[in-house]
Amino acid sequence: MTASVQDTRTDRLIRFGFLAAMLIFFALPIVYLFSTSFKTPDDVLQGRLLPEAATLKNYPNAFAHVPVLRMIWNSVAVALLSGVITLVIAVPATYATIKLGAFRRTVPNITLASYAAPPIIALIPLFYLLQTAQLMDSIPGLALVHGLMNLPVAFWLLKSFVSDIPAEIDEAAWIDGAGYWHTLFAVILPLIFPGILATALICIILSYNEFLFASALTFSEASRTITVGMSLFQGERLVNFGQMAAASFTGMVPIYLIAFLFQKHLVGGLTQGSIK
Amino acid sequence: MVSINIQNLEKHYGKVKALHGLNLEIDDGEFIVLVGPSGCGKSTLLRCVAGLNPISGGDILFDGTPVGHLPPQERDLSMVFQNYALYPHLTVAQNLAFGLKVRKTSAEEIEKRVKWAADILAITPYLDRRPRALSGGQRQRVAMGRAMVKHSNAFLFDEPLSNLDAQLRVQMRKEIRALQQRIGVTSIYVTHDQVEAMTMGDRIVVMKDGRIEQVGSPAELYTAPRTRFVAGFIGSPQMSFVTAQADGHQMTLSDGSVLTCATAAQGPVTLGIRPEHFLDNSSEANRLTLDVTNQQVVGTSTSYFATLGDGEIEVIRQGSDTERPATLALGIRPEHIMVFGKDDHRIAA
Amino acid sequence: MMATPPAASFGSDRGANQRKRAEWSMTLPLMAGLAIFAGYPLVYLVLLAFSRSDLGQQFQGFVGLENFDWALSGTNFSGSVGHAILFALIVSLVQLALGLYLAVILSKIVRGGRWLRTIVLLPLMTPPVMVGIAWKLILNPSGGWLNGILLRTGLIDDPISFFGNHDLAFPAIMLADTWQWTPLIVNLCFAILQGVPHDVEEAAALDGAYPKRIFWTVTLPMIAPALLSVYLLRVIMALKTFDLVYTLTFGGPGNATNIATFEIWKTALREFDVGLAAAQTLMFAITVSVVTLPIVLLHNHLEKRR
Repeated sequence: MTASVQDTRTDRLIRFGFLAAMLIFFALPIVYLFSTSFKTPDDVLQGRLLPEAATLKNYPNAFAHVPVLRMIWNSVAVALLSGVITLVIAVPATYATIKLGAFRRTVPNITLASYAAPPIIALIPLFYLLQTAQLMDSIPGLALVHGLMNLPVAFWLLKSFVSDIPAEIDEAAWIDGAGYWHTLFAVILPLIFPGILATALICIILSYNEFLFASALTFSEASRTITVGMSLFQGERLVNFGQMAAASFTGMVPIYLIAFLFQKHLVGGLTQGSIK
Repeated sequence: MVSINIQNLEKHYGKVKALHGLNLEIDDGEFIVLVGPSGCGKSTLLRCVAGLNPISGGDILFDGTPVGHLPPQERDLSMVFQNYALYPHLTVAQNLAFGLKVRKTSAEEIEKRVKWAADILAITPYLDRRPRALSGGQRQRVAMGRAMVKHSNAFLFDEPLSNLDAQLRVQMRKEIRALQQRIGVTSIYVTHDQVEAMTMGDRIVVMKDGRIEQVGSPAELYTAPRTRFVAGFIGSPQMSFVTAQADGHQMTLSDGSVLTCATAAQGPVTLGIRPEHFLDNSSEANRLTLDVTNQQVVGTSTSYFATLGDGEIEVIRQGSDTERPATLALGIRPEHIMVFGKDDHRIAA
Repeated sequence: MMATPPAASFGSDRGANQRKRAEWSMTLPLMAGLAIFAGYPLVYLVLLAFSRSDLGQQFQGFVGLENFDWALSGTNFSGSVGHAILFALIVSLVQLALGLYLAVILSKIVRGGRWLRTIVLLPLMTPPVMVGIAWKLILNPSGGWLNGILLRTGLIDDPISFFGNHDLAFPAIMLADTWQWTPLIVNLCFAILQGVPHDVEEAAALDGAYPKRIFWTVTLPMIAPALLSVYLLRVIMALKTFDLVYTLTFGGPGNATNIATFEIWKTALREFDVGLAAAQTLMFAITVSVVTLPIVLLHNHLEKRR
């Protein structure tokens, strides 16, 4: 939308005020969390935005108290592995549905229906499934669950990217002698790479942030994820908020890094996925 | 290079029949053009030959071998698309090499053929560029190159020049035809432009509503159209039609005037006369004086419109005439009047 | 003339076979994945729901509709479903309104994009558990930022325990949820606004309409179906909320913030009554369909009217 001529000053002031308020609103909790991570227990009780006597001790203490770094590593491992699983399954399926017309009516409907279902539905059955397959309390086990969980999201994001490629390009490849799998890898994949990247990022973030399955399906330090680890802080009687904030913030760092580095791709993925 | 034999080809989409039992024999090395109005089935037929559309009945044979059941990957054809369909992520050289690499052709052979095609098409300076950096005409040449390097059984063209401006189109037509003659590969060319068809094809296939109306050389279609549709479709500007009552060689029009034809017929007929066959009055038979209702100057020629009987006729003259004559004195040779019976078939002389 | 083989018969049509093989091999993993993640659980749940089962030993006996009956009469389940629906419908509406307005503002800004958009993206990417912790810190009665300000400015005398207060706990969770999800709505609405054809708006402007009027009478009706899709999406996602409740209130105080997902989780993993939890899950799934159906119908109706 172009700036209109009849924009009144009051309108612009209101908009500016609202925007500023929202930006403060969005930034505040993160800023407060960050600043709390440098507060002593007395400072925490003050409830001020900035610490009076900043301390760096919360970080090493938190790490000693709870295996923060180990859990972050677990989260990262699960997220990356599950992202790979999701893509390996979703990319060919999306191509086949959109470009080859395979099950073109049933696949979108089934994926949408399974997305609408609350994950709690799958919790108990998957609990038993992982137990039987001896994948309980393991990184591959949780990665598999996350990988399957994100299939509907990946399908809907990839759909619009695949649809953007004109059918003639596939046909040209077929006439050139390329089989259907060969066409997928040699022609389609390079062309939808931004879409694959955006989808991968979103699936990785969804897996990293996930709590329900992670808490039910992992319990030992070897595989526990950071989101589950953080919730453990809660259960304690005397919570050292400074340490909790330090652990929390550290846990958020990998995700925020992705946000800064890949912001363009993420927003692009959301934009693309929503228009169609 | 193969001969292509289309036998009883049928194509349905659900209940809708797109192609009705088509039969067509194409010789090895022939350049045949499929032409017709939108929806006539020409692209559908081409895609059936390519293997992109599965066929519902009949078969297609290359040199006598049936290929109707083969996927497009195995028919060893080349196709040039309307939108070029070049691989956007590959350079021109890689685009040309793609089909050869799929076939595991040796690197030296690939290089040799790419160079050969690039030289002929004058695209060597672009070999390292990507398609988005090329103009429409250049992209079309790359598409031609991609078709050429494979030394395939036949070339298929799906309205390849529709996206180019008029001047470029005329030039590319000549280039494509010259190239095909040089290589000698069997070619099927689809276009909706009958001028393109007439200037390019060895033989032309006029299609309508999923059927073949007539197959013949440009001259045959021009002088001996089988049906009223073909007569009206071929030739530019379009043939003029008026209805008449036939009594032997005498044709009586609705306004009472009588024309003498070389063809004899009885009963209600449709007469067709090409704009270029309305001659000056001097010594011809069938002399008419008509009021001019409209006039159009198109570059080097002028078209005049007048009412004759129950139809509007178009008369074409060389030269651009800025004055508007009130009447035209015309004459028509009896052999230039085509007579079409009630079934829209032309009655032969 | 040789006899022509029927071209499209399955046995001899290599072309059709090759393609079918590719179609199946490409989609099979997805079907299998969905079967494992959605199909098998559904069947399993139905079996569990009609049996007496606990976490350690399942299928101890067939009990007919007993689980369903008990869920509705003897537990807090129906209340939790009500909470879940209320929560989903309200937060989605609030976030849609805020997100749309913010998207409108952002679409008028030409410079300063990158930092702005990154800040807006951060809440969306924060793990919900951390969201809970951050908001707990802000709203904490002892040492929370909000209470600190309210106390210092004299607006209140004693600190308010937001998450411990029966009336304030639910709104407090909604606040945290709005913080997290409005950015997604902003991005989606932004994309929708970008896709609006400008010529209709420009025509209205030439007719003398002010920007606000243009927005309400021209733009809004055009994007209404898309906005409804966004609302539907957000409602579906909001019905799945779990992490925030787990972190912030654990369903309390009392049952004030007990939502269906939490109630089911408690039944399965705290009370270990897996059969009962399965019955609750099925009923909740049906409720979700019932709730979302009117929205879907309204969306289709609006789409047709265009």
